[in-house]
Amino acid sequence: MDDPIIRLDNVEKSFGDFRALKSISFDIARGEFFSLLGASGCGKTTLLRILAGIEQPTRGQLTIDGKPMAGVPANQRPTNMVFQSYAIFPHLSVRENIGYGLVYQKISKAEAKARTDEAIELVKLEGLGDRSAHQLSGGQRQRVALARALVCRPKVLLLDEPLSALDKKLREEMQQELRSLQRTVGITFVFVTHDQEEALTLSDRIAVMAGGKVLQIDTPQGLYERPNCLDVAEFVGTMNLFPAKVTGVDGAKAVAAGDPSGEFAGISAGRPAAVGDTVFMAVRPEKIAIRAGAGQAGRNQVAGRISSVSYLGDRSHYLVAVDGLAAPVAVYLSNLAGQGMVGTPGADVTLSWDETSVLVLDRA
Amino acid sequence: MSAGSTRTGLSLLSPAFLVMAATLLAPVVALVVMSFWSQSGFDIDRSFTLKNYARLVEPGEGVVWYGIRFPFAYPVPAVLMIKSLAMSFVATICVIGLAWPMAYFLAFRVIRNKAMWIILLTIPFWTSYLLRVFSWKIVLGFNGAINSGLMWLGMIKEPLEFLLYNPVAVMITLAHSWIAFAVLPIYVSLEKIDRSLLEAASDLGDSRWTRFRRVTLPLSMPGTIAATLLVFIPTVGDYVTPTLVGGPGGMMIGSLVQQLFLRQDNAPLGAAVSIVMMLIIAALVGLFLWLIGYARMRKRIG
Repeated sequence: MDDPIIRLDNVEKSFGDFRALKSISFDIARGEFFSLLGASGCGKTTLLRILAGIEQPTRGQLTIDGKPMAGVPANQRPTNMVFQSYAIFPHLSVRENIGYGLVYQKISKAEAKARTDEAIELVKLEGLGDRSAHQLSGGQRQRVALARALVCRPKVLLLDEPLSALDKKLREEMQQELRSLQRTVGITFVFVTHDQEEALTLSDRIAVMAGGKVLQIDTPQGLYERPNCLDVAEFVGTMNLFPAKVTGVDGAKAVAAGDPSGEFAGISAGRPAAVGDTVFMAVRPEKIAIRAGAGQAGRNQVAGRISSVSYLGDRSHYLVAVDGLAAPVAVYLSNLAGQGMVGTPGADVTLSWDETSVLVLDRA
Repeated sequence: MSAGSTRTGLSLLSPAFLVMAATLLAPVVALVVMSFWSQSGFDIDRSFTLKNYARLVEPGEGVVWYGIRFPFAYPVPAVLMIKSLAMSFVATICVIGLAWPMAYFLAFRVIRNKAMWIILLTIPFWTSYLLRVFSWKIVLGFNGAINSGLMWLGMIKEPLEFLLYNPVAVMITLAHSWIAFAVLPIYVSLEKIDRSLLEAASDLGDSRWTRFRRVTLPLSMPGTIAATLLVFIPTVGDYVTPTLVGGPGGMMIGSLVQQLFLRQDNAPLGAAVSIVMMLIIAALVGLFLWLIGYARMRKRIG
């Protein structure tokens, strides 16, 4: 990547014997909305704190805006952070909180006031400037934290699960606002979350992390459609996995025999499969077609029995038990006009899908 | 609040309230009543009079103490009052100055075995107050630890006489006696500070020092104020320490009250001195708190 805003080169972090981050290397582009996605304990927050300068990497190099950050303390970095707990200063008013970092900018008092006003307006907190922190709701605190960081005009805004404390409706609202805010201010956002849906909704690119490593960096679509390993496939969205043994390979395409659930053809996600490999043939629930009646098992086609149906309004979720598979196969069907339910629990059904929808994943 | 929960609340409070009434309110009321009586010979005249209070402010020739003129016919209580306030003030400043770094260390630097450190801090309290004061007599005395130590080192030939029986000895002893009381409230207020607030301050540009000034110090104020009052209020009226290590020059207002009650046999005047002392301390504490509140209010508006 040419002239990235952030470059991580073999960054490692250990806490005693525990290796929190293992050899992290990637770039983040200017103006990008970049998410670090992973379960708790995967190292995403540690990585964010290293970017902020709150933690120092044990090894490796971090460059922000072309400058190496080794030995640069948090207060001298061109980054600002929105903390998970918001960290609103309880002894200061909303206005004082937002203006906290402005004393270090070389600007006049009048300009500082104007910028604070602008930030208050940006996050829609007009009229609340004189309130103190404990008079604010969760959503308002979140906005104060955001405004307080943005008002310093950082080159990179770091957000540590800023929406996790909000209820669902407010969270979705704030997601939209964050996204449009990022487009307005044009600052690079690095966003930490464990919520894959949130990451998919907001991000330009996402790094999926597990066990202190980055598994895959891709666009939301890339991650969902072409996960490069089992962990990513299972973490992002729902994935049906059919264990199989490869019987034939043609370039990236592979044919595999399921035991005993049929024959599959699909595309290798990572390295090309070899004959004899034990793999998972992976299919997303919404790529599967479902039809009533027990059909013939064939290539990319299996027979099963509905074990449960959940009606979700816009779509229905079917769980179909297939002989030889431990977990039932999930099938998501949109409830389009004129389309009734396929069947009730206990009904025989046939599942089929296109081979372009099948990913061949190494069995980890 | 419903009637039921009000009643529960009152019944929960009542034992404490009864104890307070018996041990605090009743003696204060008795003291107030007594201060309006008068002493005549060995008897107490129970008719109402203001003459005890009048005596405290009766103009007269007076004395000059450290350049301050006390133009009263009976200037001793006034001089001792000002002296006690000054000595307590200095002792309190010393206590807060010593306790603050200890509390800070405990809250921010000690990670393991916090409980053990707190227990260590309370060890001086395992012996009685009297013994602790007495130990200073041994440390500072004519043949005490400091003098014999310095003589053994050959730094002095004769024991230093200015160590004991003066206001400085009283202030040292008071500061030592009260320091643990000050550490705990300050420690609690520091311990309560969310560490992410400090990280946020650094992130927003604060250096270690500015962060301390802008976040840590203001957030520790409730504990620091509590510690200040906790030390200042009881030390003003203390009479044990001045009696044991103060000598004639280290007398405080508490010593006078004790003497008026026991030796000079003028309990009504002693009561009046106590009441005035209480009112002055209350007024000072009120003024102190008002100033702090006022400063905060100004900050809010300005």
